[in-house]
Amino acid sequence: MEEGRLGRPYNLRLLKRLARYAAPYSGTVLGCLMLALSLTLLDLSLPYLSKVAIDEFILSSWYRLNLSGLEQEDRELFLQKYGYLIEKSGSGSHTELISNSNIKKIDPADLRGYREKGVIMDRHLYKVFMDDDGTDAGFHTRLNPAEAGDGYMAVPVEEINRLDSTDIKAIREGDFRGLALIGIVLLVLVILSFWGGYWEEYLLEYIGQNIMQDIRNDLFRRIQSRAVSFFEENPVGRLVTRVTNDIENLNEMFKSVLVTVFKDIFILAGVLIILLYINWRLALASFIILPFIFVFTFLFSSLMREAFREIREKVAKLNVFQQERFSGMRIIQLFAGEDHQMRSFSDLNHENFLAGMRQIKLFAVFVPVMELFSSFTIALIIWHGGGKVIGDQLSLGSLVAFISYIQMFFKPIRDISEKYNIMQLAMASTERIFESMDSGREEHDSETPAPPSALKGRIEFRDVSFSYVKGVPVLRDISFEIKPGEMVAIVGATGAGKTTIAGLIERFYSPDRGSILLDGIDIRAIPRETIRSGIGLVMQDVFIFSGTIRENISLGRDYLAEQDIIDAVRDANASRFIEKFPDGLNHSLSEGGSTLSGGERQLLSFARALASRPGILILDEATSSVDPETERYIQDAILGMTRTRTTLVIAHRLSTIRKADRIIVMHRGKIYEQGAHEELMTKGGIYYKLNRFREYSESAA
Amino acid sequence: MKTPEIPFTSTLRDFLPLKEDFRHYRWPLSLGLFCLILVDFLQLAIPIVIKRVVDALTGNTITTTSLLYYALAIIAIALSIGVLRYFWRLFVIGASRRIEERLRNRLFRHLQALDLSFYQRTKTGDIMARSINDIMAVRMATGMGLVSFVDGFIMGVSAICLMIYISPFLAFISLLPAPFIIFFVKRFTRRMSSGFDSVQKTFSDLTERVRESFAGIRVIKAFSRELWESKRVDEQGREYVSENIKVAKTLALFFPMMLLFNNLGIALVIWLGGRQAILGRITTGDFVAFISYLNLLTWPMMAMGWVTNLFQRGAASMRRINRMLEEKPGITGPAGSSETVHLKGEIEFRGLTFRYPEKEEYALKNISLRIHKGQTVSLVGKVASGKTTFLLTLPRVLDVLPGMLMMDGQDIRDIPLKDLRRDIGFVTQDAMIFSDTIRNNLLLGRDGIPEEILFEALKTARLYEEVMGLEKGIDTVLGERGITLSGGQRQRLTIARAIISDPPVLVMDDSLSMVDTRTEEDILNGILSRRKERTNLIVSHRLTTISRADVIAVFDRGEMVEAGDYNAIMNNPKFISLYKQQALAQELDRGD
Repeated sequence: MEEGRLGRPYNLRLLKRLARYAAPYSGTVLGCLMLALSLTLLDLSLPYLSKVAIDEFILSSWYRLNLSGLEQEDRELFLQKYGYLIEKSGSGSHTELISNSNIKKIDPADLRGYREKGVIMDRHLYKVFMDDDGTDAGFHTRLNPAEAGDGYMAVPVEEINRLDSTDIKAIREGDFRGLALIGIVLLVLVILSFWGGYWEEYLLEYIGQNIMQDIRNDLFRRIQSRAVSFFEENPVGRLVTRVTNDIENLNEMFKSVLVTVFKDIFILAGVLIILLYINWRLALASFIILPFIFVFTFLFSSLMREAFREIREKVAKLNVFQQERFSGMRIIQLFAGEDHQMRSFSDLNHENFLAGMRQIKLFAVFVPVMELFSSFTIALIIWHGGGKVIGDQLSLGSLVAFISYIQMFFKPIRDISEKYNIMQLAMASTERIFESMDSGREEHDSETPAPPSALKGRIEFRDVSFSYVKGVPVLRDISFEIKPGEMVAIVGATGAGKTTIAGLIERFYSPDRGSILLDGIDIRAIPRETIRSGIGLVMQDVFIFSGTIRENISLGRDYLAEQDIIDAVRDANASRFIEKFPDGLNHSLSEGGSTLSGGERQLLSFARALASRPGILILDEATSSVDPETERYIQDAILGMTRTRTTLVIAHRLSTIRKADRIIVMHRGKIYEQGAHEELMTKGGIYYKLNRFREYSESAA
Repeated sequence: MKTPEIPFTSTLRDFLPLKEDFRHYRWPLSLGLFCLILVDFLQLAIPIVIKRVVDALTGNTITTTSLLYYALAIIAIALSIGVLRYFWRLFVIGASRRIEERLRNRLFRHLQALDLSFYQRTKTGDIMARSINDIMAVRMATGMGLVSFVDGFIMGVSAICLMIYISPFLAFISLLPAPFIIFFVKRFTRRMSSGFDSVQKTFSDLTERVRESFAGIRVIKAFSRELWESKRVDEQGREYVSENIKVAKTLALFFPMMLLFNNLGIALVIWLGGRQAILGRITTGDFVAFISYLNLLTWPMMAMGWVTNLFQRGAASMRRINRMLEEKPGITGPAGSSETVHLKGEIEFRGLTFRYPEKEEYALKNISLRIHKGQTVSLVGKVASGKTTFLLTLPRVLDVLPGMLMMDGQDIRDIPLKDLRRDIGFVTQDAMIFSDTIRNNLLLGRDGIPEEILFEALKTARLYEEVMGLEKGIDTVLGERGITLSGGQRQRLTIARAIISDPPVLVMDDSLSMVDTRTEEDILNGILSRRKERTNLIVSHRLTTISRADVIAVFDRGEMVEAGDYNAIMNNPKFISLYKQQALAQELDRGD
């Protein structure tokens, strides 16, 4: 676990590279963004509709204008400037009405002046329409109109509110209809927003998952194409984490950050525009708080990052500690170290707790302070905006809408720290993913490969030297030749370099010096594929893939016919144990083939190597002992498969060694002696000494 | 409904083991919850203030001064909310962290007391999952779960009360969707948790597939099967993707659905509530406050579904933890004795028979052997012939029946476990090294061992020069965060670990297999010459080691087929047939 590496939450270079993976889905991404934009518009429309409901229908009222109180000149001026706002009461009448929403359009300074002069009266009136004949309707008689015009009368609002509900319903039918209309519009918008919201989330997941799958495949293929040495230098667990968990971290970023970032920007911009439109003075006043929020968020984010990093570090420490203690519990108990371990553990556990508490405290400050900013703005709107309502510069509905919009405005800002964390994690993962893609050497084949041909089986080493680590040679100037059809056994101590020879022939590694030739051609000129599919390799420890026995033999080689597999199983002496399973070759092996015995696994790996009928066989004998019966099967199989092909055996079994045409005795990276069994015995070297002991123990039997 | 509802009481019962912890933190917890409830009430007060403002503004009965008072009231409420929020987070969430810490300590202490059989049948990964994921789920349930439950409940009930107070009719209308929401959330969370389970499963399948590809990379390369394997990974990845998308189809419903219910309520309120306001049955302020409460209600309704899920997950995790806590330590010291015992090193096996639990075959069959103080015993035999099992009975890592194993003439079961294990130095096959300094890896918490002894032990284990060559010497950190030792170095370190206390009995279980022959001989010579007066039991495949022993015990399929000195054993045909091949291989390895 690399917990210490958390940098900035964004990195353009990395994001650009990520964007390349998103390119195939650009259409869907664009669709998602359009959806997000429309959804934002829907969201933004809700408070506005409430505002309309309040201003136009619930609190609809009119003011009376008394233009006769003005000088002719001023009246002209008024009509010129605000005439379009006036609702004429018909010909001849000198009273006019102005609605409560229109009055907000009069310049505040003018309005004050007109009010003082009594041009605009303070009283809230309601415009009650008469029936066509201008008389009718019971409630008209119950009203005491302040003014009457053509087809309507203006009645003080208090007057109307005094009526019973049937009358009100009749008078304000238009408002009721308006409310119902808003209700219907809302209903439609709400349903639209539901469907839009659903598709947006679904598409986001779809895009994110597919991009991740593409990155995962890409990363996997790149890691897979690294030279074998890469896998020796990097623990498998870490590589797996790269391909699985690190890519999983990206998902969060795709899903909950990238598109929400756009959505947030839409909302912030939208709220800004609407507020400025409703009342730009109040809007500017309420944004006073913004610089404070930015400074505060900025200061806090670095503290948060630190706290977050610390938690990850402590958790990782605790996990490593536990992992080791649980798997090494036997050692702790054997050395009676329980008390000591408990102390170390509870120390780590407490550090973890403290790191958690630090984060809790930070959040306990951050979240309330953000809320406070939001409440402070609301207070400001109530004070400042309320004053404007009194002065008829702002409608009540607008004031309410302002409060709703400010709450909408603060939500994305409040969530910023959470997104910050996600982005940070994702960026760290992205960096590791790309690093893994770029690091390590890939296997390269020669640009001018030798023409492909079936391998005949001549292997030649010419002064080959090799070292895994610089300065620690494993092979030193090795030269030998294996003729087609010959069987050569290599013997020597562990670490003498025997297995390395097999790895060099397979081009897992390249020699530091010297050359290796197959059929007289330098193997560097032969494509790896040709070499590897022409040689059957049996490794010391048999690797079993989860899948059926058949899959483990064929390894997905489509060119193998059923008969090839059956023949391979027969030649490897593996039929006996495979037939034990009722489903035979289709028997499914799990958990690395733990249901098979060591000997059975060896037989299976023989079949695997034999299936493609390779001309060359490299056999790295297993050292682990197996039961005598299986041992006999293994020996028979080896005898059979080496008879017809060029074979290089890294031998441990006496029986195998004795059968070899030639024996190469290796010692500390050098060939010590070589020759047939009899030859070496007469020579009296190491080989002779070893055999002397064998004879001693046999004679004692 | 496929899965039966888990009754609330049984969920509570799972949390019963935490009773003591809750009692311990009852004051911070109740104080925190009290703060939380106050916050709820204060939050509900803000719409009331706004309502007053709106009503005053409609009624034209307001001055700029009173507006200022209203604004200040909001700031005052917000400040109190801020302070109280700080305290509930600190107290309630803090308590859940404290409970987490206590529970993790308790689990670790308990796990340390469990014997080998537990660790043999339990994967390390499973134990880790208990200690990490499950404890986290418990923390979530006791922290955010508790908070959301109280918060959602109080907030929901009071908001509904206030709505009814404003207008029972509107309250009834706008709460019409509520039962649907609760039903929906419940079904939803249930469906989601099964969906998440299958996502998790495909994810671990994918991880396993990738792990397999990298672990078997040599096979894949040797057979040029890269394309095949990447196709397999791709397929597994697609399965994971499709499982995720399947979940997304449901998950994508959640928030839009919650929003839908909430907005439906708002549409109804604007339409019908607007009429009520016009008719004068409610004030405009009521109308505005009503919409605010409706918005506030969204959270409690979601919380109820979420909380059930958190509690159920927490309860399931708690059940798994409880199962682990209920594991009884199988091996304990004698009851009541506190007197320290020092071993001399006389060991007698009397018809030792042992069978692993749940296995049919006996691992050890009727073994009798007497080892005197100062003797060196070499154990030989094939893999799985019972040597390791035999040795593990000595420190009582595996337990035998009374009377089968005597130490200094005393039944081993009557010796305090601590003393027994202190006086047996045991070097296991797998050289287990912890990510810690070399010093701590040697000491393993044993106090009072002077540094010279550590150096002496390192010298005997032929590791001194290498350790001193490191920049920080004996204080070099190993493992994850430090340097990686080779297999041979690790083995030598574990040998040094065992001999620093100069134990009366030393057991070395094939512990030099990765060390070259010459070094092995040096180490054994060093150890044996210093331990002439002490008892040594050694498993080795190398004849030179075997030949040095006073007694050679030959094991075969759980039986001790022969015991005697080298000359006696050399004439035993069983031994020869056993050792013929290995002997050659090893002599080959020995080189010149």
